[in-house]
Amino acid sequence: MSLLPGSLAEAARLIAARKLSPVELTRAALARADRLNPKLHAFIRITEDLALDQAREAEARQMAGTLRGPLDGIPVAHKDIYGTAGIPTTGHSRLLLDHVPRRNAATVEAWERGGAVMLGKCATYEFAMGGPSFDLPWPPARNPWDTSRFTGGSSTGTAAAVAAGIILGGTGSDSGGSIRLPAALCGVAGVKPTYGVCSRRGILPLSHSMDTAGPLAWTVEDCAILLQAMAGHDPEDPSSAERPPPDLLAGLEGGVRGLRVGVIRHFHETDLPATPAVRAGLAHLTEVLRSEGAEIREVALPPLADFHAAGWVILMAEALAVHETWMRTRFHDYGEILRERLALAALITGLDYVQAQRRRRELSEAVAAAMRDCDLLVTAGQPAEAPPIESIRTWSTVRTPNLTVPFNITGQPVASVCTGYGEGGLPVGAQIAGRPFEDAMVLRAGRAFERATAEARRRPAF
Amino acid sequence: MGEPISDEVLDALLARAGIALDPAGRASLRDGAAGLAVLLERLHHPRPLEVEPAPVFAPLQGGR
Repeated sequence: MSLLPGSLAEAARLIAARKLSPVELTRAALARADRLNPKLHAFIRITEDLALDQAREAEARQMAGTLRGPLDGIPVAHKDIYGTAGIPTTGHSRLLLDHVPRRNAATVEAWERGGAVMLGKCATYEFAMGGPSFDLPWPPARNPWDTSRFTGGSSTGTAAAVAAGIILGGTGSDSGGSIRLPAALCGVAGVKPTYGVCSRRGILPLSHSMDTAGPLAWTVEDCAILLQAMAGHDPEDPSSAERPPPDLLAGLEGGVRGLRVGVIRHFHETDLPATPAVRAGLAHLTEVLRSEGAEIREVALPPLADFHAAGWVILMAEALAVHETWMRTRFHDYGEILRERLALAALITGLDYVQAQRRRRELSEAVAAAMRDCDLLVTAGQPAEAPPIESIRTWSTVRTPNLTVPFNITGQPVASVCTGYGEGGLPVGAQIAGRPFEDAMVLRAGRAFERATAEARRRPAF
Repeated sequence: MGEPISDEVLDALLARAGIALDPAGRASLRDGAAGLAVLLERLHHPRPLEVEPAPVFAPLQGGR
């Protein structure tokens, strides 16, 4: 089998109908990983024995009629900041080469309970912040659409593996855009849930007040299935929201009729001008949502540069707090990009950090005010198609705003959807954001768009 | 543009964090510091005294 089934949902239906063997599916995924990983570097570790064991268990449940749900027997992989019991979890860093957690991250555990088959651990930026780097124990992941191109970071390997049809879904984390940017540049779907919806217990931290765990997959429907399995309160995570898990699947096909959708134009038209293909992609998204019954209106928010300033100052300061001891004692074990980015954080004072958090409150209030008249917001997901991987510089994250960080500032749920293809044939994407804890509505809108445009989706050629 | 950070302040802040950079690293950091100054400028402006930071402290319940 050259490709896995078109989507996780399709594979789940075939498994439930006993028309697809989890063991055969896993073998196909492993064979594809063997063939493509030397070009893509999407995985830093493939857990073949574990995957086949888990697939056999899933197949036994399939035969016994005791499948655990839509994840049972589905090949997935985890970003290598997700702790995996008995399997090295390195953060793609020399510092943790020998780190073998005793427990799974709560979210890994949740997918395992659902019967998911873990194919391996995926490449990331070093500790989800330093990359793309060429001086780490593993090379950076490459974009399956063009292996000379950047995948977007930091959930690099997961996005590449999903786009290449190696896995049907995987985990990412998003503190400034690290699920949505790779999803957009690799042409897949990605969801940053509301901050607090998914436990972060067992995931290597980056920015405590913005870190969010979430899924990447080929479709929004697949992301909904994956997120449903990983959402829920965890008393071991202080940021975990004390509320029942959202029901993300019951209304998924409900469409957008009557929803009010605000388009944030100034982000991609003036604040960070995007290419014609990105603009056309967003226009396509809004037109489809309009044709599906949504009411489209314009929304103006504070400048993107304000979100960027608050977001990156908070992220850098919190990241240095995480890494303070190693920065003093193992400085040269970090890759050059991460150690320089963390060193820059040493120039941020306590006053800067608190003012950034006060600005964050002001910005969050501005977005909440804008959403009094809107159910959803849409904006571009990236300024352009994926650039050459060598063109990414250490300070590009500081100097150039990104379009994703506003929703880390506010903690809102956001889906990244593929809206088309640019002049170079690479994918472009857009974001659909909802009010905090209205993750289901975001997924519903993303699903409405993908249902109406499914025929236009392409896979990278391999 | 934000004010460029002086060599003395840069050295003091790095020393406080226990970070020792070689000349190349220091030169690169100067470049990054110019970008950081632009970010910081957007955060420091007069605002009402009562504006709370986004995360606020919540006392923990006993026994948790």
